[in-house]
Amino acid sequence: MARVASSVAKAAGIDDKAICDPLHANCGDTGAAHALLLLAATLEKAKPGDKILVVGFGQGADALLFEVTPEIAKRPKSLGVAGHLARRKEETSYGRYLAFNDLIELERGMRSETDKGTPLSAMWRNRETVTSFTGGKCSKCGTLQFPKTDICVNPNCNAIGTQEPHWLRRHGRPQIKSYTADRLTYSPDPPSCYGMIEFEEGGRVMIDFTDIDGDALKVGQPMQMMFRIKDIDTARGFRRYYWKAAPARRAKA
Amino acid sequence: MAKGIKDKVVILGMGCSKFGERWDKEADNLMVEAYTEAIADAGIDTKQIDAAWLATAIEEQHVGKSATPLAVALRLPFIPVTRVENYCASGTEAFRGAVYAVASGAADIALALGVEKLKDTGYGGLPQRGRGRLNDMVNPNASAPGSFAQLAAAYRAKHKVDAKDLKRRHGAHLGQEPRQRRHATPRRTCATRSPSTPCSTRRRWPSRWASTTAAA
Repeated sequence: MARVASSVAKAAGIDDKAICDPLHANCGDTGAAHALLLLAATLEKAKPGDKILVVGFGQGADALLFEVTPEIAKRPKSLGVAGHLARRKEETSYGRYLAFNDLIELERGMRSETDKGTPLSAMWRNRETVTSFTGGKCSKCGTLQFPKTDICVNPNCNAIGTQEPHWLRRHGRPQIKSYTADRLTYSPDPPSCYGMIEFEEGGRVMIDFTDIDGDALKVGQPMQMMFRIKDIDTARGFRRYYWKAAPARRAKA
Repeated sequence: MAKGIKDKVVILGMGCSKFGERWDKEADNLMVEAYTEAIADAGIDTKQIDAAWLATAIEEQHVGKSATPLAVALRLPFIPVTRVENYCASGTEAFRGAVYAVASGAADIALALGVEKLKDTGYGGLPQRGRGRLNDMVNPNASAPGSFAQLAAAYRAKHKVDAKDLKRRHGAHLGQEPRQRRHATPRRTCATRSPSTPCSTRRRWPSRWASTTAAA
């Protein structure tokens, strides 16, 4: 795969140096998302005037040509591709690699047998809660809450139908308020770490933790939200995604 | 104005099945065991019961839905039967329902029975199961010990309690429940492997089987 880009560039008369790092070494192939992932990575380093060619092919081919404008300077600061790769947690155990990628037959125990189903109608209905982690902000009293519901959680308000969509993760980092490392419940990567987090501006939620290392499991630990696989419905071949809280780290890049 | 139930109801009789790992018994058998003891204690006959309440929380592990399993197991006559569920408080709900029926004058004698038979899952502890569609999409896959352990984590932080001290305090507290008294001496507690950090005790989860009955 790595050589395909070079040979296409050569055939098209594009300088070999213009080919971006395919990120195979430390990210892997993200499938259909990969062309756009590389575009995002390239934009993080782009300067006004740069010309960017995005080519994707599968059962057909798309070519998109962009020119970077001075507006790039206004790009909101985020962890981005480089930041996420810099904070990644490397897995060096082959046993765990085989287990996580379903390359080995495992006895997962009877607690893993619970069928949580794949209710597409419920997923669509709750898409803002589940995919963009949208909570609610009461337009009457200002209380933040998750998930966004019909009635305000503030006992002195309880207003009905007043909550505006609110992106909790965009407004300050959460901290751990309570935690556990659960060795009884089923998890493909035990122990299952989870607990209550509270956002700086308010709003609490009990949520799964991820990338827990060393002494990160403590009250007051700053966290950041990550979009991850929640679980895999093996009976129907469906991956559920949701947000998890990971210890906040400064990106190296 | 609410008047309450004071002095309006008496408990005629009580029964309780033997506690333990009753591998040879169905939930039906446990219900009959507790029931026969209760009506003998009350000195009444099944035909005198006007209404009955069944409490069970995790019915998919044994009897299934509704109060029909109670009516079938006890061969109840054509009387109203109601099933209630409210987690570990389910038995209390059945009792409350029966007591209120008598207090209101709707029934002269009412029966409350609770039954749970969980270990046919093949493992100890409460069964792992779905908790509702949206909850399953967003909530952690929390076990009961994991849920309670979070209280200990927050308590430790708020009151600046060392993990070792918490272990003893928690163990002493758990010993207050009669069924756990035998298990929760501080020495035993500290020697038990932790199911969920930071709690260091293995609670005796209601994975034994029992049925209790009260005729009000």
